[in-house]
Amino acid sequence: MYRYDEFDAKIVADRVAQFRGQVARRVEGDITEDEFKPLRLMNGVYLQLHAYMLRIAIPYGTLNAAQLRKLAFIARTYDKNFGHITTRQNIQFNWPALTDIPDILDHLAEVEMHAIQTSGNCIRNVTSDQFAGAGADELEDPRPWCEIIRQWSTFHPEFSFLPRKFKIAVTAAPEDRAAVRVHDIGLHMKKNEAGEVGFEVLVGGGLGRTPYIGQVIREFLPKDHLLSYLEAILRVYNSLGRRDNIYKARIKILVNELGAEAFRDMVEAEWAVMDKSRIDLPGDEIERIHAYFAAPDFEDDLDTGDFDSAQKSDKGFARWVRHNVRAHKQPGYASVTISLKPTSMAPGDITSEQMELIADIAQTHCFDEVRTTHEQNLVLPHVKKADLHAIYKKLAPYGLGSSNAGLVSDIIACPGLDYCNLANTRSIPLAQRIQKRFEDLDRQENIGELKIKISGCINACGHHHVGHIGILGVDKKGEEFYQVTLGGSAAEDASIGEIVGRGLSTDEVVDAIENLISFYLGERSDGERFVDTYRRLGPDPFKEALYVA
Amino acid sequence: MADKPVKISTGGVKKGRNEGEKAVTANRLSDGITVYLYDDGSWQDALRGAAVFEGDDALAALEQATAQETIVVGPYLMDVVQDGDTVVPAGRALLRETIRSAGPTIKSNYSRTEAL
Amino acid sequence: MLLKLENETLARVNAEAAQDIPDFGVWQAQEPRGTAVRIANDINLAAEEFDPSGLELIVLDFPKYKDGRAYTQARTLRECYGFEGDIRAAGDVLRDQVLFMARCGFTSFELADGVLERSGGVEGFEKSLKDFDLFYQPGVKGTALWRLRGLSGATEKERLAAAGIKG
Ligand code: HEM
Ligand code: SF4
Repeated sequence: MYRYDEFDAKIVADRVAQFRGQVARRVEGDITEDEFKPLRLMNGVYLQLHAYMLRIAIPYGTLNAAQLRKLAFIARTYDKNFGHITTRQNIQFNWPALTDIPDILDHLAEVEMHAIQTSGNCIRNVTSDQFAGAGADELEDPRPWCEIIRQWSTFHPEFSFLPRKFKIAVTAAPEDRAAVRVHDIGLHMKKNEAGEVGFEVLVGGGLGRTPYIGQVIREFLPKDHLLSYLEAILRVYNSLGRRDNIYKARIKILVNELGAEAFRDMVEAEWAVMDKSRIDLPGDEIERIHAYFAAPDFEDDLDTGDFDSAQKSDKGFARWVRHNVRAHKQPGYASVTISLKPTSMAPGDITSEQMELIADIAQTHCFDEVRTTHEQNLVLPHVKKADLHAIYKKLAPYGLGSSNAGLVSDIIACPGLDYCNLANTRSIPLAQRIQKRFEDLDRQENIGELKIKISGCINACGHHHVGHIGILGVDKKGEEFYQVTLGGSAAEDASIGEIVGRGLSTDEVVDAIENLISFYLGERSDGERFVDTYRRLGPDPFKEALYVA
Repeated sequence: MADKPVKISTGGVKKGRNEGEKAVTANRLSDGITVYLYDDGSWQDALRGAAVFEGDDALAALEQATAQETIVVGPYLMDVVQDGDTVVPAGRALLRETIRSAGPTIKSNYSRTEAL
Repeated sequence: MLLKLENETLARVNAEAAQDIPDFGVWQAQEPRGTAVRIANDINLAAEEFDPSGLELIVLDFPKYKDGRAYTQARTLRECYGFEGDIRAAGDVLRDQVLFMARCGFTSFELADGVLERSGGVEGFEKSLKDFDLFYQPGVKGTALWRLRGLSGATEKERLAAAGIKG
């Protein structure tokens, strides 16, 4: 992974000093809350219902053991002993005091971490495929490009006060695990006819109040020109994006008001006159950054040890292998998804003890690397098959052995009314009730891949628009109600779910989800996932099924 | 018929009108903790002893609170009722205000001074 | 209240207030055209017929400091039009943004009443101007870090500056 040189370290240290000064000026009354709010947001500090929340960047979801241990220390010292993995691969702490945050940032800087641009109307943390560098299906590791974008976007003088927040995702595999189609800019690495690898550039995807799937504005962008092209897109957006209405300020609205072609023409015109050589990185700097992401020293001709026999003797392990273990490009290795969705925990929450355990495992078994996923889980990208049983036995006693990756209980949920100032309804307790209802593992396995995503209001932090089953919290005269959407997807077959029926009360909603699933089980043909059956049959029969008593 | 009560913010993005009994609530600047205005002008974390206002008194109390920028953030008027000696949340934002005063509903060790 | 940036330092100067400078439409109609113009932030300079020759001062506006269109305007003026005169930031100009502004090519800053007093004076502004001395990306002002990393095209002077930072 990328390591800071003295320059990177200096920038982060300067940032902490700057923020320390800003906090002091706020506390002394030299700056008003109105003036301070955007400053704190650009450093990931929100004010929630009960306390401040600090969102820490995990660039493209890559962490090492020392970083994870530092996060555990922060959770224990400054918070209530847990953190929360977000849908943009970051981690949030829900209880820090404002006056402690500069110290927390100093601790983070020691392990090359920060909270820069994790909120605010600027370019946010770049996200990527959690299996980058491990998947057999990828063209190349997309993370060096993510790091290049991270550096370019950090304190960009022109693009720090955009009309609205701006999110970029990069992937290099045909299976889109980074949801690039629902980002402001999605970069999908592809080969052109000459066999060169470059970027397909999508613009204008996004969720929130008005969801859109991104549109391709360039089929193939040579890699070397990535930054100048991004700069051209951002420049058009900064000049023309709407500022009169925050609900219309995202680039998706601009692209749709202008039309993708007209937008592309403006970008291309800007790009054509730009002095690209000033902005694009030279080859040796691109190489310098790539060198940090060289594949680890994989061993050849590995013995798989007790991998096969343990699956026969340990049924729990066998189930975990079926759902949470994934093929690796290197024979003898595998990638593991560590589920943060055990029944009755808040999806994505992780305690200090769990962080420390995973740090130990990463160091011993996984080349000192851990990933966070946009589905709020963790990944050990490169472990030997021979070590899997031992790893499973270490994880399980800590509540980290759930065999539910991709299944009905692997729910994405936003913080909702338990924490969030903007919420209509709670999300986490509903996720827990659904998990409880489908606790039986054989039943989950029988249902197969099913992505349930819950948001507590229309801001769509829980990605409900792109859930196979999406659940949106609405406020009906002070009561919690839930609106169901069906048929969404965030993957390469991206689609926005359709709303079915009226809002459901807290008492009705879990039964309704069960009705939908029972209907699917009755109707599915071989190998069909829930979303496939939905796409084949259309919404009407599902609508009827929703209300079956 | 008197004029309609004035429009007020009621926390988050919600709006309401200045009708009925109100307490002044905000988050403390230094640590973000939910606090309530008391009769003696202090801010405390427990809703139960908060000062209760109505009508123009409520607006005046809010105005004073708003001027205390270096102590609290985002003060607003919340609906309350007095239940014997204690003050409890009421009205349309009942659930939100119950969670603000008692803590998240998901895990007891995250909760605050007052039980749900 | 105007601060002018020269040789890395800020100095208070007296000058005509932004509101007294002709706006874009008025200036375009002038015969001959004056040496100063005020350009609103919804004018897309990339799409305008605009000839800045003869201009000494261009005032760009921040109606609210969160409205960042003038950053792009300033850069466009410097990098596409090659404008070398004074670019002044007016409106909601605060010390926490002056470094971004300077990096996009602003050279003077018109402050609203009271701002300087609660910003620690000119020194406060100067401190914010020096919050960072390393930048990941090129700006009108400030060399991109990758050039300092000693790999590509850094001049001897730039390397020395970088070495000073290391020490
Ligand atoms: C509790 C504090 C939070 C607040 C106040 C908040 C606020 C918002 C708002 C206002 C939006 C809509 C923005 C827009 O449409 O332009 C949004 C979107 C979003 N938020 Fe949050 N959020 C919070 C927590 C979270 C958490 C915990 C996550 C991750 C689990 C998250 C992830 C997202 C994502 C992925 C979007 C997607 C919308 C898009 O990209 O179009 N947020 N949030
Ligand atoms: S979706 Fe709404 S309720 Fe959920 S975290 Fe986002 S803003 Fe809050």
